[in-house]
Amino acid sequence: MNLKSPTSNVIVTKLRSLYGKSLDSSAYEQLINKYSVSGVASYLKNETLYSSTLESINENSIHRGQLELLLKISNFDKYRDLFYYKTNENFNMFKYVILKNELEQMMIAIRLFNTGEMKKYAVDLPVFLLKYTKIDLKKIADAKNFDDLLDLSKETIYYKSLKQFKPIDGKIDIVRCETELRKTFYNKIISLIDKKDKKTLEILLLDIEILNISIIYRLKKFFNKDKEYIKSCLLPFFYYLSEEIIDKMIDSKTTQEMLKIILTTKYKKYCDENFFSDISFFSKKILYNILKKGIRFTNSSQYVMISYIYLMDIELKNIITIIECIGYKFETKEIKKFLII
Amino acid sequence: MAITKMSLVRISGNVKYIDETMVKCCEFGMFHPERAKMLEEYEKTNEIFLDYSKNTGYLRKIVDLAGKLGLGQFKNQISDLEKFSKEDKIGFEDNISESEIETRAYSNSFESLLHKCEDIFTMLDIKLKDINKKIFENKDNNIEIENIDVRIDELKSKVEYLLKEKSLHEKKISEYTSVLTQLQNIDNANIDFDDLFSCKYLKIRFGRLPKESYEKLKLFDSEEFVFVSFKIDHNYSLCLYITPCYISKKIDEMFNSLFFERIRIPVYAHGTPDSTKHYVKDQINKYESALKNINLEIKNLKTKIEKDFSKIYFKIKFFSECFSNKKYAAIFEDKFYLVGFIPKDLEHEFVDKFNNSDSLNNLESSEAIDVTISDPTSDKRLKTPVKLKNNRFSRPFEDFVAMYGLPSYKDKDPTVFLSISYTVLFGIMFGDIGQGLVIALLGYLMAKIKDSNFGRILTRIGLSSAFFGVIYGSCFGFEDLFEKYILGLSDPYKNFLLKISHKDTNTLLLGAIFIGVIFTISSMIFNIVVGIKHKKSSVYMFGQNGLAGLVFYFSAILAVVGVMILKTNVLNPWFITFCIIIPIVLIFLKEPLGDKVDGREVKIHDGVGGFVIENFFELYDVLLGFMSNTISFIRVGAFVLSHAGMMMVVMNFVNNMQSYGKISMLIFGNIFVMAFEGLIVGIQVLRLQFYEMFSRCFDGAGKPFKKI
Repeated sequence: MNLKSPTSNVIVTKLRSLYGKSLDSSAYEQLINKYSVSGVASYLKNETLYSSTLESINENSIHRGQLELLLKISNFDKYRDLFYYKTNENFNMFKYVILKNELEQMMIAIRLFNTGEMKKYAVDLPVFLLKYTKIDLKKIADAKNFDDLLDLSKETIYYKSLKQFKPIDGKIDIVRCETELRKTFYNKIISLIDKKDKKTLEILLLDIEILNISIIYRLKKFFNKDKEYIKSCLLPFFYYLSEEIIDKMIDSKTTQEMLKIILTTKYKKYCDENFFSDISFFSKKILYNILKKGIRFTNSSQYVMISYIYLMDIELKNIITIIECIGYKFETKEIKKFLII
Repeated sequence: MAITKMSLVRISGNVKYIDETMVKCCEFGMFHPERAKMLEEYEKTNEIFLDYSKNTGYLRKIVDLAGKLGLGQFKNQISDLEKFSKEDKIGFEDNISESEIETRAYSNSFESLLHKCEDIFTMLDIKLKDINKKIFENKDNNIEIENIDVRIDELKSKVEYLLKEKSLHEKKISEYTSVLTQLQNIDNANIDFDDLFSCKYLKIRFGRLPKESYEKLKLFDSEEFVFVSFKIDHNYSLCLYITPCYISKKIDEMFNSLFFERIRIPVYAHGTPDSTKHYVKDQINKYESALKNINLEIKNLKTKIEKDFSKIYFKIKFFSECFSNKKYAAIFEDKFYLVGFIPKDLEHEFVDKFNNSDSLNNLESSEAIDVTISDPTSDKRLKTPVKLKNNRFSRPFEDFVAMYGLPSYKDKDPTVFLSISYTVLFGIMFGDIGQGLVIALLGYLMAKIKDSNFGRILTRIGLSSAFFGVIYGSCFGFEDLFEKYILGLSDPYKNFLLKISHKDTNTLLLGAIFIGVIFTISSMIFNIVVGIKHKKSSVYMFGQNGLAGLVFYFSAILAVVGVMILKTNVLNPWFITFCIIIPIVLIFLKEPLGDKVDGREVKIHDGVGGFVIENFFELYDVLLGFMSNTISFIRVGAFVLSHAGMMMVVMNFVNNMQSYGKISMLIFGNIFVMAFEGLIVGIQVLRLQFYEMFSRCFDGAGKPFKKI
């Protein structure tokens, strides 16, 4: 289906309309001024688009974890409802969501495998995914060894990637394995999207590149890994940064030196000296600022669709942050600092 | 059609009597205060007042005053009343600062009492508007104000106690109701609470589990617990689990991570859920009955407060408002100064109020209150406030004038002009006997019940609408009501009325422009009258809305009517020179000519070039304005057509329906047209008033008269 077809316009309008109903700064203001999880739950239940999912909860007794789970389900339901809107013959919003969720579940599974706590998976099992995923999630908790885990991923695109990482001494090389799984995911998405739409490709590349910066930083700072290893953990996609600059960053001796290199690139306008203090926060903030503008002014349906998913995930992250901060009795001003708005 | 004549009042006297003076001014009810502190002559220090304050208890003055106002009990209860005055308890000590003295001098001891009263009203949800304000105006009422602060405190405590009791009972009922709901959810479970809770080695937990978690339970088959689900609704499973004591901590943690919400079974639960339900129901009945009594007590108290306490409230409110107006006075040395305006015809009444006062009369000359009345324009620093004075018909329209801005004190009041033109234009644009009478009736009810000025306006324009409805022969959408009578008339009336009745487009639109011309000329004449009053020749003689503009506009209209309708060309060289060109030149040169005629020095700002360019574009705008303003009145005719069009649509629907449908459609259609078109016409007429007429003759720079 052509990107400029009427259907495409329908998706753009529908998603913009939905995004228009998402939480704005005054809603965040209201939320951070609640003194308890029940206050947050009550506000979300009565004043926001989450109301249909939270309809039957008892906000006075709801558990923090349950609220977070219900919000996740709410977002998942929204994406599922948009299942029938295809941006082109190969790609639809829900397919993207399922692939992303399968990636996340595989990564959770290999982390639990490495720590030998596969049983714990049962507690966090995303029941809402069961109907839609090709992985038999219920069996993950019972997986005894790597082969069992591999067997569960047989029907997914991740099987071949996972197969390469047989455990050595009972441990999987998590960082490289995750890179490989992510590479598979992004390759698949890039193969599905309409290539003529440069903006969508750019946004995916930007996401990958920010992830690469974060990987370099963590491997250098916390694991002190060598250059070759770090390089092998990176996703082979480039956007603002050339391979040469990436090499320079890997070669840098301190994180301050690495920051100086970043400040010579196009990321300069998004970064400050606190960039590395919470790299995942800043990377999300960079994406948020670009996508917030993009969702309003870009007419590509797949761009708007991916932006919507990113932005809703950020909103969910913000709400979870607020719930946690309220739990820790943070001051209102302090909570604001942690929000991506 | 007038602006109330004002007098400037200056009151000065010993600061001891400021409160009495304020009360007199408030009682008078027609005193507009000005900020005396802002006037230069009063800008001095308040040192002498310091001495006075040191020796005089401030509250005592209020109490004296209350006594003089006939509140005998109040006068006798000085000691009680002193309790609620913080500043008096402290006293004006020797080492007190000047600013503190001033703060205390302007303070209002009744304010805290007023807030307490308002708290009581808020707690009991008593709407202040519901209380009859006229209570205080009735001088015969004997309001008990004895021990008022103690009484208010007691009342407040009582209200707080009752509301607390009410809340406690409601909470209990809510708790028991919640338990009852839980018991109802498990009443099909054949269990005995006594049996279950007597287990020594087992832990039993009742609660509800989210549906998501219920699905996950199957993954915990190997754990040691028994799970029983009683009921599954949309999102939750009502259930219980039983686990051995030795492992209960682990199982509790597991269920906790699955978001199990525990329902605590009360200690009074014995036997089966059914038997416990009876006990809980009894408790609910007991608390409900007690709550009923409390509610009754609250209701009685509320009635009593509304009936009796409101009188006291308004008395306190009156004093509080009086004393809050002390901010207008300037206090220094041992004097206070108060400046304000009163209507000129009430001068004597105002002076008598002071002369006849027991409290303010017979004072020593050094302490006497001096009331001086002078011309309102005698102090150039003060802008005289404006109070409109109109006949009964035009009075409600004063709100519309105020919406644009009040006229200056020396201007003419345009209310009568607006009221007549608004009523006529609305009638023309929305002519319908039935709908007009309904609007008039609604307006009458609004005026009667809500004392609404807008209601009074609706009555007038509704009747006008009905009047024009008769001319159009239109009633609730039936457009040919009087056709047979019109046919019986002789020409030219028959012809004209038939054209109007049949909504002949050309007749209506030309008629609308004619109305526009009349109103435009009227507003120009109004402007000339105001200009002459202000002695501004650039306005009344040379301005675009002055004589020059009037001659030009009238001539232009005459020429157009002559050429297009009467087929007579009046455009000869004399006519063009004297009626078109000379007025345009005069408008172009209005500023220098005005200066010359009024005897001022002729000044041309920005040089001749700048003057010519600026005035050329201004002239262009003026000429365009004459045309666009006149054409703008076409909307008057257009709305006559649109009304007929909308009712035609309604009648089409009516004709296509059966029996009751016809009547319902007719009613609904008329209501819709009345609300929708009535609103639009109302706004459009106001727009015509403000844009096409007021902009020609009225600047709305007046200051409203605000009485205390």
